[in-house]
Amino acid sequence: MIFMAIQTFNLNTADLNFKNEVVAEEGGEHLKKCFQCSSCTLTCPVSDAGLDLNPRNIIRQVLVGMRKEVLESKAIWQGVGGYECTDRCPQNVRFTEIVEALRRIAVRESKNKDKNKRIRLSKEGKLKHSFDKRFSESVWLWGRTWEPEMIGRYLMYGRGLPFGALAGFRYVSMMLGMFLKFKIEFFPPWNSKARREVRAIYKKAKKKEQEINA
Amino acid sequence: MKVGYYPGCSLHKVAKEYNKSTYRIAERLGLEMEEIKDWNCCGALEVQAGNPLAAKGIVARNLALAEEQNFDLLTAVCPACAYQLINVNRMMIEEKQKAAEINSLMDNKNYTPGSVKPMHFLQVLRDKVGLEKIKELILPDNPLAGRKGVSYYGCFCVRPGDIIQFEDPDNPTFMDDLINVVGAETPHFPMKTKCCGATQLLVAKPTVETLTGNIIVNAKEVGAEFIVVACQMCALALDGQQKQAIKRVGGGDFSIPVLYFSQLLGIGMGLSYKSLGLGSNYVSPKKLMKPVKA
Ligand code: SF4
Repeated sequence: MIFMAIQTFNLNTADLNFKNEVVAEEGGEHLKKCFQCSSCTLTCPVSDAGLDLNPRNIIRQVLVGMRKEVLESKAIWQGVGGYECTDRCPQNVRFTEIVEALRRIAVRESKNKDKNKRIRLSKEGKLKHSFDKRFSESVWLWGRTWEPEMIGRYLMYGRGLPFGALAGFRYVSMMLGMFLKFKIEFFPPWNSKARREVRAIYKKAKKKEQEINA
Repeated sequence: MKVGYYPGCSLHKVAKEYNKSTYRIAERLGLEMEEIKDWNCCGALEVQAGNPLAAKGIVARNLALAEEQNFDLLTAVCPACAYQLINVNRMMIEEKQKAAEINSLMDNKNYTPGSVKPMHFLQVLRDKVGLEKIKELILPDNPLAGRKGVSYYGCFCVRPGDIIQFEDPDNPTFMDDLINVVGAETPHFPMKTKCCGATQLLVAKPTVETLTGNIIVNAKEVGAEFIVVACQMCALALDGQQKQAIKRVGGGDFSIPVLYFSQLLGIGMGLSYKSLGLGSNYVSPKKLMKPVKA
């Protein structure tokens, strides 16, 4: 057995405003109601599978003010959105939505101009963020998602052609199965009315968000 | 009864058998189901992750379309779509200010909160059609009678309970009732509402395979011959990834057919193999189609 030195967090370096930052974000409103009962962690299938995610722990970290640790962790990106923690929580803390809020903050802070304050997204975070982004772009492009385009671009993104295709190898059996069952849509969905209106909504929403943040 | 149908992106191709079989049983049950025109993507959880406001806007557009086309009832068979529709509708009813904000995003549309009632197709079956009516149409000698099947709900059909307001989120039973109506037994299945993680299939494949594998192996342990699902993403994980998932958790060598609840009812009603799109399921359900020996 190897004994490792326990890495402790120095509370003097805590960012005491972090909890308020999360509460101000959409979905984080109920954060401060948590009384640390751990129901969320016990019901979480991802914790169960032995991954890093521990909802109760993350909430505590946020409350204590471990800003950098939380935002750079891979745990916040491991949640699969199953709403089990949200449902079982006796205090209606809605952890699934808190995790979404944390992810949003992390993405925003990863683009922070000030180098010392910039957050470095973990690898899991980059992947998930990239996927969300491609999904959202696909909706913007067609008015609804077109899977081959979305998945293709997701695999290629940041990798370039040969590597993107290699990354796709892991999904070869899945794609082959779909192909054999005629489940791949070869032509893009074409509904110009839906597409135009969806783009208008995106544009306006973006403007509004900028107004709020400014 | 007239019902508006919101298919969602995956139902047109990735889960075409779900779409097909849903139409077939709706027809049999006397529902006039019609696709709402010009619909757009509901954004699932992914759009919401980046731009939460736009995500609400595009869902509201679908609700506005349903209102425009005079549907009181809007149903989706994709639980994530149903969740988004229900959630935005609820939010707009509860918070007037938010409703105005969301409505202002749309150029030439306006949604009156509450004028459309969105729900999952399972709920339509339970509340608007009723188990009795379904029972009348089921043939007693259908090939599933006498078998054992488990229902797998996953997340969005019943969770988050306070928003969906459909069944007890800890132990939902309506799909079990459907299996019983068809004549099959339902052994106790502890993993009924555990999440399979399918939405992350492209992001964290090993995690999803572990979660899915646990579910499949558990189903096998309780003696199920088939699994019934109500979500095309669950099917993608449980059905499409079944082999890899079982391998990941070291479950042994077996396969379990995964059916949609619409296919289950279709088989019970004696609809043909082809019209239910059963050939499109990844694990072939052919071995279920012979009557059980008495
Ligand atoms: S279940 Fe709720 S109250 Fe309990 S630890 Fe988790 S978030 Fe906190």
